[in-house]
Amino acid sequence: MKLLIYIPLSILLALQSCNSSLNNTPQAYSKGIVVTNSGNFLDNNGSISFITNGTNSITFNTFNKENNRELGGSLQFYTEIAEKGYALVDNSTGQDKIEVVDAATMKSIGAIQDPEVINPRYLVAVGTDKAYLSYWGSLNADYSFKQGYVALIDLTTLKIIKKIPVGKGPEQMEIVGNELFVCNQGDDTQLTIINTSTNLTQKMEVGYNPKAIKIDLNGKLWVLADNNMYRINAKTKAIETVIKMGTHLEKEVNNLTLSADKKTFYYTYSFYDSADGYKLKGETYSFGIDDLSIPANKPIINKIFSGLGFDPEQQLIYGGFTPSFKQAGYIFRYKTSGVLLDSIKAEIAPSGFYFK
Amino acid sequence: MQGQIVSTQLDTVTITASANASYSLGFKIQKIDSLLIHRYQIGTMADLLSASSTLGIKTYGAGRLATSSLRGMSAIHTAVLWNGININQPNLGQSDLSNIPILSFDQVFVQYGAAGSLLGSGAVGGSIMLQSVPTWTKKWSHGIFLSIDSFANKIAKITSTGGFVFKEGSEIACKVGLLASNTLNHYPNTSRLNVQIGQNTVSQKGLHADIYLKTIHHTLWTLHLFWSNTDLIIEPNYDAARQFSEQARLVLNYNKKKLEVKLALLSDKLDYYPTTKTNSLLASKALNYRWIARVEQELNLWKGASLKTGIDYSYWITNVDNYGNKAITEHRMDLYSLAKQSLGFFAISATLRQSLVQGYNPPLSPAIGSEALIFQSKKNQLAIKSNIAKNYRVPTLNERYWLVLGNINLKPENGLNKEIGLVWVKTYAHIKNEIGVNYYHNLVDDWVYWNPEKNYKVENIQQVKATGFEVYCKITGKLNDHSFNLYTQYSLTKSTQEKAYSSFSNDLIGKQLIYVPVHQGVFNLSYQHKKTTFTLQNQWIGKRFIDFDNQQYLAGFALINTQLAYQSKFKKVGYQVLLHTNNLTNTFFLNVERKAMPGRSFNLSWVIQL
Repeated sequence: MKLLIYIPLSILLALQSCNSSLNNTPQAYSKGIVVTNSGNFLDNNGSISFITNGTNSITFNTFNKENNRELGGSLQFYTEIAEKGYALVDNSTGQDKIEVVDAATMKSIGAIQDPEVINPRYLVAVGTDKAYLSYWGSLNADYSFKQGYVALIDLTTLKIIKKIPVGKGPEQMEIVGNELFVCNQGDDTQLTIINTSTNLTQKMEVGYNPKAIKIDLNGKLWVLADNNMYRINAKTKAIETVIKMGTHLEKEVNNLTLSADKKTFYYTYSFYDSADGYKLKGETYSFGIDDLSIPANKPIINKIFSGLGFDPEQQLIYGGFTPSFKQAGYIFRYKTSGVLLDSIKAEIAPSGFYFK
Repeated sequence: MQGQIVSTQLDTVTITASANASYSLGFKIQKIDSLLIHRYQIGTMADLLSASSTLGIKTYGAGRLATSSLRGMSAIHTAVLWNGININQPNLGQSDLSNIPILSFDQVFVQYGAAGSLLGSGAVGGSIMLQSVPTWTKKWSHGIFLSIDSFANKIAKITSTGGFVFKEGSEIACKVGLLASNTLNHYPNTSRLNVQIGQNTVSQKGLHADIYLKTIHHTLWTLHLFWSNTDLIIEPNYDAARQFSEQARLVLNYNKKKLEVKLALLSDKLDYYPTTKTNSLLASKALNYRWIARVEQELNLWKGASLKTGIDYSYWITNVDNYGNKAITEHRMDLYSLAKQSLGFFAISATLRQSLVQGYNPPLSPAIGSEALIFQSKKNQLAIKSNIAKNYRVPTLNERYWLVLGNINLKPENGLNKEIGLVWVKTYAHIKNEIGVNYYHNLVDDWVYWNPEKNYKVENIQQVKATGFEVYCKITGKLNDHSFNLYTQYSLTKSTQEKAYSSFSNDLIGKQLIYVPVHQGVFNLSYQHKKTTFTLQNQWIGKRFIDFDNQQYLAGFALINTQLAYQSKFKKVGYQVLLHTNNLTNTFFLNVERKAMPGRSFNLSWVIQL
C-alpha cells in the first residue's frame, strides 16, 4: 500500500524537479543585479551584464547571449517596468532606440525607434502601462543643446503617444503624485513639471544645469544643480533649503545615488587635473538628508566611479570603475562604512545598476 | 626585368618596384597582378588590396576610412608611396585606402616588413608602392570605361595613351586619365539581420598625367601629375556629417646614367564638417604643403658591387585649426647610403639612413639583407632570404602639435625587425609554380599612444611585439588558348602589447592589438580562354578584437567576388564587357562601427578602346 503511494509521489516529485529545472534556465535573470556598461561611444559596444543574486558571479553581454545580436550603440540607461526591461541605446550615427526585453529571460520583445527620438536619457514609469522618456533630440553642429523633449510611451503597444517639449538637455526625472519633474541640464536653470493627467507643462526655477533628482524618505525632492543640492517641497514647489556640495573650483558632483532607506546620498566629486596630464581625480562622499551642511573633505571612499548604486538587499554600495573605454571595467562593492568587500570584473565602462 | 638582384642566376620573384628596391635584399615584395588592378577599377585601393593581399584592412564602412594593419602594425606604420614619394596624409600619418582611386599608376607592389632605411620614416609594418611605367609607342589609343552597379554606383573613366618619336631620335610617351565616380550606395534594405547597414555616399573626381621624354643623350625626363577630390557624406539619413578631401601632386624626375634628381610638390586638404552644410563655421580643417628635392647617385664599385648615396630634403607647411591658429613649418632631411654585393649564388645588401627633422633626433636606421640560392637546376630553384632592419617612425604632426593633447617632445618609435624566408620556384612544361614562406619578428619600442587613462594625452609608453608567418603560392600556366593565374596567401600575425604603464594596464600585457586579425588569407584565380576571362577572389579574415583586453571582438568572415569578361573588336573599335559580383555569398559582416556591411551586388562595366 505504502509503495503504491510512494511511486506516484516519487514520479510527481521527479516531474516537479524536472519542471523546475526546465524553468530554471528561462528564469536566469529574474533575481540579481543588472549592470549597465556604457561601452565606448564610437565602437557602439554598450552591453548588459548580470550578477546572480547573492553571488559575485557575473554573466557578460546578456543581451547578445539571448538574442544573438548586439545592442547596437552605447548603453545609456536600463530599467524595468512590469516585468519588462528597457535598454536605452545611443548609436554614434543617430540610429538610437530603446530595446525592450523580457526582464526574466532577456529575450527581445520589441524596440522603440523613431528618427526624431535621439539621445535618449532616462525612462520613468507612470502606472504600469505608460512611461516617460527624456531625450535630447538632435544637437546643434557645435554640440550645444537644442530644445529637448519628453516622450510619453504606451508600453503595451510600444508606440510613442506624445512628444512634449521641455527645456534643453533633459535628464533624470521623478514622479510625485501626478506630476513629473524633469531636470534640464543643457544650459538651463529650470525644471520642467509635466502634469501626468493632462501632459501640460509648467516651469520651476532652480540652480544652473539641474542634472539629478531623487525623492527622499520624507517625500521631498532633491535636485542637484550647479554643484548644490536643492530640497524642494513637491506640492508647494518651494525650495526649502540649498546645500553647497563643496568649494573646489573645478570638481563636479556626479553619480548621485540614494541608499535603500532613502536617508543617505552617495556621490562622486571629481575633475580632470590639467596640471597633471588630465588625470581624473576625486573621491566618493555621502551625506544624510537631515545634514545641514556637507563636509566635502571627508570622503567615505577614496576612489572615483563611473557609476554608483545601492544594493537594498545586502546594503552595499556598488561603484563602477572605468580604467579606460577600451578595456573591461570593474565593480567595487563596499559596506556602508566605506570598507571594501570585493571587486568583480565587468565590461566596458560600468555606469549604472538595476537591482532586483 | 627591372632590377634583378643577383646577375641572371636568381631568377626569383623580386620584380622590383623601383631601382632602390633592388638594394632591399631579403625583403618580401609582392607585385599585384595587373589583371586584378583592371578588375578592381570599379572600386578603390581598399577593395583591390583586401582582395589581393593580407593587409588586414579595417574599414568604417563603404566609402569611409579604410586602413591597413600590415604585419600587425597600425595604419601609421604602413607607408604609401606614389612614384617614390610618401603620400600618407601628413597630420594623421596614414593613408585612407578607400580615398585612393584606381587611377594614376600602372603597378602596385606591397612590401612586407620594415623598410625604414630604404623608404624613410613610417615604413615599420611595410609599404604599398604605386608606380607608373611608360608605354613607348608611336600610336595613340583612347579608352572609355563605364560602370554601374546594383547599388546605383557609377564610374566613368577616360584614358589616353600615346607617344611620339622625334626626327632626331628623342621619344615621348604619354598617359592621361580622367575619372568621375558617384557612389550613392542605395541598398535594398536599411538593415541586415537586425543590424543597421552603414550607409555613406561618395562623389570623387580625379585626373592624372604621366609624361616621359627620352633623349638621344640617354637622359630621361619624367613628369607625374595627379589631382583628386572626394566628397563623402556619412550617414546622409541620420547624422549626415561630411568630409571633403583634395590632393594635388607633381613629381618631376631627371635620370641620366646613374644620377637621379627628383623634385616634388604635394598639397593635401582634409576638411570635416559635422553637418552637410559646408559653410559651417564648425568645420575642422587641415591644409598641408610639402616641397621635396632628392638627389641619388649610383656608382659601380667592382664586379657585382654597387653603391648608391642620396640626399632627400623636404619642407613641410601645415595649417590645422586644432594646432592653434598658426601655420607650422618643418625642415626635414634624409641622408642615405645603399650598397649591394652579389657573388654569384649569394648577394648581400646594406642600407643606412639618417633622418634629420627640425628640432628632433630620429635614430640611425641600418639594415642588412641577403639572398642565397640553395639549389638550382633547370626546373627547380630554392632561395633563402633574410634581413635585419632597424626601423623608426617620426611622430605625426597630430601627435606633436595637437593642442593640449599633443606632445612636441615625443620620441620617435623605434624597432628592430628580423626576418627569414624561403622561396621555391618550380617550372614545368606549361606551368610555373612558386611557393614562399616567411617568418618575422618585429619589436617596436616607444610606441606612441593616445593614453585613454590620461584623457587621451599622447605619450611614448608602449612596446609592441609583432611576430608572424606568411605562406604564399603562385601558379601560372599557359597551354594553347588557355592561361590561368593562381595566387593564394595565408598570414598568421601575433601582435601584442608588451608593457604595462599603469595598474590597470596589466590586464593588457600579451593581448593582441585591436583590429589586428591573427588569421587572414586571400585566394585569387583567373582563367582566360581566347576572348573570355573569368576571375575569382576570395578573402577571409579571422576574429579581430575591439578592446585592449581582448574581451569583445568582431567575428571573422569570408567574401567571394567574381568577374566574367568578354573582349572583342567591332570594326576597328575594341570593346570589353565585364560582369562582376561583389560578395557573391551575401555574407553578413560588420565594420569597425559595428554596423552591417552591404550584401551581394552586381556590376556591369564596358570598356571601349579606340
